[in-house]
Amino acid sequence: MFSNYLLVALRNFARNKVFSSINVIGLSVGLCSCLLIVLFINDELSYDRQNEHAESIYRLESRYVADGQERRWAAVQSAMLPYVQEQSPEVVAGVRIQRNLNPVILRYEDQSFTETGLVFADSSIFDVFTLPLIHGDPATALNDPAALVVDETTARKFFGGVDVLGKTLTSVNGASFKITGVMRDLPRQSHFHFTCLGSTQLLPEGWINWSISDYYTYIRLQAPEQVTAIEERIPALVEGLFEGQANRSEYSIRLRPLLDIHLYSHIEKEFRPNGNVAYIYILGVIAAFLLIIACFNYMNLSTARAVRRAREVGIRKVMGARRTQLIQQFLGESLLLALMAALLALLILSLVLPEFNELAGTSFSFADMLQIEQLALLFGIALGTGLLAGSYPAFFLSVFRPAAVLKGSSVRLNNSSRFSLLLRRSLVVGQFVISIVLIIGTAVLLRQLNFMQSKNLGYNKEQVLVLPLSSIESRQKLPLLKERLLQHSAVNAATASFEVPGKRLPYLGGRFEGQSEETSISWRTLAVDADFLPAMGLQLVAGRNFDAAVGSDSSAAFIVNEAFARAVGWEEPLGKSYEYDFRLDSPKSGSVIGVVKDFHYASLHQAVEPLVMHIWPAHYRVLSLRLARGDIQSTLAQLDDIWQDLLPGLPFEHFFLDETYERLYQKERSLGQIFSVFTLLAIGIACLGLFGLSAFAAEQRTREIGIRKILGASTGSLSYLLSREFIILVVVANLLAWPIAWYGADAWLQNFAYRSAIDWYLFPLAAFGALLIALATVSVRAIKIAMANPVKALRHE
Amino acid sequence: MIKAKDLNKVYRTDEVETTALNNVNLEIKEGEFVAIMGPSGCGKSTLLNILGLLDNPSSGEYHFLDHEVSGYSERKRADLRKQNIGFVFQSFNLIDELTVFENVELPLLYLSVSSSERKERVNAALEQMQITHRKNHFPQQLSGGQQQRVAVARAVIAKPHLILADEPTGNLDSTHGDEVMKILTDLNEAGTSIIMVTHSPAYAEYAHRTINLFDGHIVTENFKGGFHV
Repeated sequence: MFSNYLLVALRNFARNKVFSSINVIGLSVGLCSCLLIVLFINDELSYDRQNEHAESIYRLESRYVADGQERRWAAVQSAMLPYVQEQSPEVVAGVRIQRNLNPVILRYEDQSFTETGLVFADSSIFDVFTLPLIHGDPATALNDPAALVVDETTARKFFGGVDVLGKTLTSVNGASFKITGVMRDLPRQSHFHFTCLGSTQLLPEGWINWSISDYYTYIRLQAPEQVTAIEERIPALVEGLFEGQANRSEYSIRLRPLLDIHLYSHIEKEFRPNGNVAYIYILGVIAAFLLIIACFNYMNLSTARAVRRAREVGIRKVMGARRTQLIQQFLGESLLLALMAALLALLILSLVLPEFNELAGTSFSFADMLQIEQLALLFGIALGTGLLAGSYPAFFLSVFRPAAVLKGSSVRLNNSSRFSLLLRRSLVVGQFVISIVLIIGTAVLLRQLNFMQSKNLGYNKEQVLVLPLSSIESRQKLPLLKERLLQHSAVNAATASFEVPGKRLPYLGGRFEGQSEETSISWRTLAVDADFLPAMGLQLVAGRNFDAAVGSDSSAAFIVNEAFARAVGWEEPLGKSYEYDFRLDSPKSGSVIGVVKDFHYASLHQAVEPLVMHIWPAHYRVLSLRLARGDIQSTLAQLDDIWQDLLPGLPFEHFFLDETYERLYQKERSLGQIFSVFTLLAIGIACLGLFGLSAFAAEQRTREIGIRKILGASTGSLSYLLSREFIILVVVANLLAWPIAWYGADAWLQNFAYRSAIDWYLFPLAAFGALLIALATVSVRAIKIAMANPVKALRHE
Repeated sequence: MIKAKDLNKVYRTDEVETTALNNVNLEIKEGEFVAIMGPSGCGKSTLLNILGLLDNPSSGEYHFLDHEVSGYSERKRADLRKQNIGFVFQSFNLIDELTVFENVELPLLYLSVSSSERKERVNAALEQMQITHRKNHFPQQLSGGQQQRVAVARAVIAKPHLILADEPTGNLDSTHGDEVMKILTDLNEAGTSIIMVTHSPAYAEYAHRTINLFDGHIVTENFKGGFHV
């Protein structure tokens, strides 16, 4: 009996190649997309889980409010950990990690590499985090000030192997490190990243203090729930810190679970940009959408086709088939197709995986797909869809009275098939609602990306080459370097600064005229040279730029942005006094000589914050060159020569400023790409379904069309007749989709302090697009049927 | 074998009520060949469906092989039907996706007959209907007469007591029609009861008895060799 079912199923498949293929392909593409997204989401959710004690690890974060502004940092002061540990017996282990702000150039024999991944940590890092060592002993690896643990990749890079304990690396700045451990590379799914691990003992004497919040501090508790005990103690802890201090800012620390960092933490000084749980939700919704569309199709086409099987049901019943046997047959058939779709989905997956990895910045392998959970999910969804899709024909058809089915050559519209018509129409509307929402969503997203790309940032990010000054030597030779580079004809301007726009600018302490004695505030402060404003294309709205020839400009002058003047309430900022006191015994006092128009030195997610700029050569870490347009490659080679001439043996590191800017929106851009791809897929699947349904509808009306034609209907009017219903459905879908799309787009745009408007014309445009696609899809079949010979159509009956 | 008493069948839609059968009384004995005649819409097919256990009467009694079946559930009817009744239709009603062999085999599948026995019986039936050479073809590849021979083979494969034929010659030319009537007569002579609906007085002549229906009533019963009112 089973083989009979299988035979009928396969022959049916072969006979209705178009329908069956649409069915299977649509479902498999939906399944495949859904699976990819699930994989991506799982990946995002797996961050930091490689740590054995992940659930009990917390990060200490600082929060303070000054002058009504809340600031939250991912790091705390170095003295915080011993202080908290002393008063909290629940803490099993704690570690401070300090990121080396400057890249460091390390040498082994005649090779040198710029290492950006050097951090310093307490030796207890191995008690908190799970960092497996291939060589070396975690108990002693960081006990020596000169100790250095490197990861596998770094070890291979310098030494060509991993068995390298005891070898020595020297920094071009003079320090020397002895390799005491080789650890496995940190997995991609880690909120922090480093390649070299030095000991905090190497830090300068007096590093443990309360002055600067620069230490990523983690504690491991005996059990996760003990965190409440510590949280309750925090107010007392903080109170103890400020004992006797009347003018303290509102300060607090908070504990963030390690596992929440990647998706939920977006505060200052993050180790690196984290993921965003909102995007997880968005992608999850898209995955669900795609799957629903594909399932809708599958059910739609299955039920539509089922009516054609009525006669077979009748015959089988006459031959003695029981209802349960028929239900089994139809469900089985549907499951078989769904199973084929699942297998096809796996095949498609293996083909598109490399492209997806590139798109999403992941590194999945096909083996990841073959995990039992993934497979269970895939086949679970497939079988579920198959069951759902099969149950309608199974239960609906199996109640047919054979006498009725066999006598009349076509099945009359009774109540239940009217219900099925309504169901099919609703499913089509549902599909198009989803497609239109995705179309509008994608349009809004791409417009916002475009807006960010083209927005006037207040500085000119094009054609700026940035050279990091990673070595002491390069910083010492900065004036000479700048002079020599400026002599090159392609270099139009050069400027040294602490950082470039697009990177994080630090908050440093300062006092402004009119500030009350009790408060201490830090402001985003940027050390620049006199060429910074013109080189970056910043615009002055009042006063003047620094002048290298005026001595007091480097010792007693500040330039602020408009936001600063607004924040401190200066109506007339010029001449107002300011004191810069970061890590200074006696503050640098001076006055404001200029105000620059606000420029977007951070991402457009945030409003422009107050900024102070001053000349402070000790902090110069990058040299930016504005290049003339032309042959960049040969210019770079020539600049490299100049560099090597002055700084022999030091690598010529460089990047372009607009790349930094691009990186700020990498998440949005990759989301935009993913969105576009999946939107196209959704529309494709929906159209596939529409094509199938319209073909089916046209076929069902062959006789009606034959009669109409004999009575004189034209091809055009018949095509209209056949397309009309679907057009109405698409219009209805539009009306439903618009509010949903508007709501979603508006909510997403709230993420940006600077955003493009949602243009009203996007909506009718999306509607028109959907309509056009639907019309094109439907009319292919409609025209074909309308042009057929009517005699044939009638004889067919 | 068949005893029907006061059979009524009423079809109801939202607006109209149609009486298809009106107090039909009928008795058919084992081995009989009965033809049912009457104009379109007189209730022939309705009567055949009820006699064939495809439908229940609205009221009245129906005894089939000593079972009172008028109140049987669909499932019980199906069980009784598949062992005792074979059907032949005007439009053949073969399953397009199955070959000749597989179509004929179908009733045996629902009777859970073993594979080897099925093969043997199907081959024998095909042989009997002289259609063996076509057994791997699909229905669309056959002529109407051939299709009907397949349908008859399918109807007799389960060795039913009764064959119900609903205008078995209606879609056939006279040569093929005669052929099918010959087969039915042979089956009847071998002991199978046959009830046949037909429009053709000539083919009705093959039967022992002809029942004339009009507007749901039996108006006359015509035995071979004389009228009987």
